[in-house]
Amino acid sequence: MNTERPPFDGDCDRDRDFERDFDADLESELAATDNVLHRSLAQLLAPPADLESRTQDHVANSLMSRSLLGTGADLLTVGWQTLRLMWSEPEPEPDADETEVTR
Amino acid sequence: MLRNRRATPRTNASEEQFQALIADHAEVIYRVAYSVVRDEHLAEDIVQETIIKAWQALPSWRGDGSLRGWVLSIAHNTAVSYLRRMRDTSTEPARLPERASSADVERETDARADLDRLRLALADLDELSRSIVVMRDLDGLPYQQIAEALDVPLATVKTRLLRARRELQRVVEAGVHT
Repeated sequence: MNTERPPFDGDCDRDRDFERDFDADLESELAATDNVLHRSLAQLLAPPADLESRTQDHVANSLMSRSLLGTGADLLTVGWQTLRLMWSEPEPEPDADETEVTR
Repeated sequence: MLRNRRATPRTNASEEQFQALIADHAEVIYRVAYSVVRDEHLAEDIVQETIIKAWQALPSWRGDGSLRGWVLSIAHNTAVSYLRRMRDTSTEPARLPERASSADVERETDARADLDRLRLALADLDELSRSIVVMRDLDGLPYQQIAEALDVPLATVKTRLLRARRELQRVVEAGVHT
């Protein structure tokens, strides 16, 4: 689902050029892992301990509300269309003379 | 006229699928979201919205590529949309989730200050680079999956990662040596 894919600010063409020159040294630098940086990032971006349970509760409630709202809207739509059908005047039946004329 | 909706899971199978979606991805979504918006509460909102979007779109997911990459692409795009909406609507810089001041940093303890320096350095990166660093260095996603999730060339992933790491490493090392 890529409905919200904003354009990025980057110079992707320049990056593509860069890839041609991406030599073995850079590849090995890229492959190296930095444990200190990893630990620091993990600490900085650590989610709250109860994230999973809170997310579960909130998402379940939100889906339920949306579902109920949607069902309510559907029922209203069906009710409105039924009333419109009941109120609208029936199509007049073509009488015998008209049938004769058109024939 | 009736719309096709995917509501709260009711059967045991879908209940398990729903719980697995959250258990497997909530934390990594949070890290990507937090790295982009730099606000804990917003990051949680983005986790919830991403899970809802992913749950509703799951039946239409084609299954090519990894589920993790697909979910993270939703998370990244949702976070970037949040950030842009905030930038568009807020005229007060103080209301944006921006960096702490350098005076604030100095008041903190050393360990806290190191993290704040890293936070500043992370904030100085563009949103794309932040997501790449998190997806690769914290969650270990392969380069190709990151490129697909963020819809950028493989070269962009590598170059942004390299530049971002150098910048972050410089800050982390400076903190260690002081």
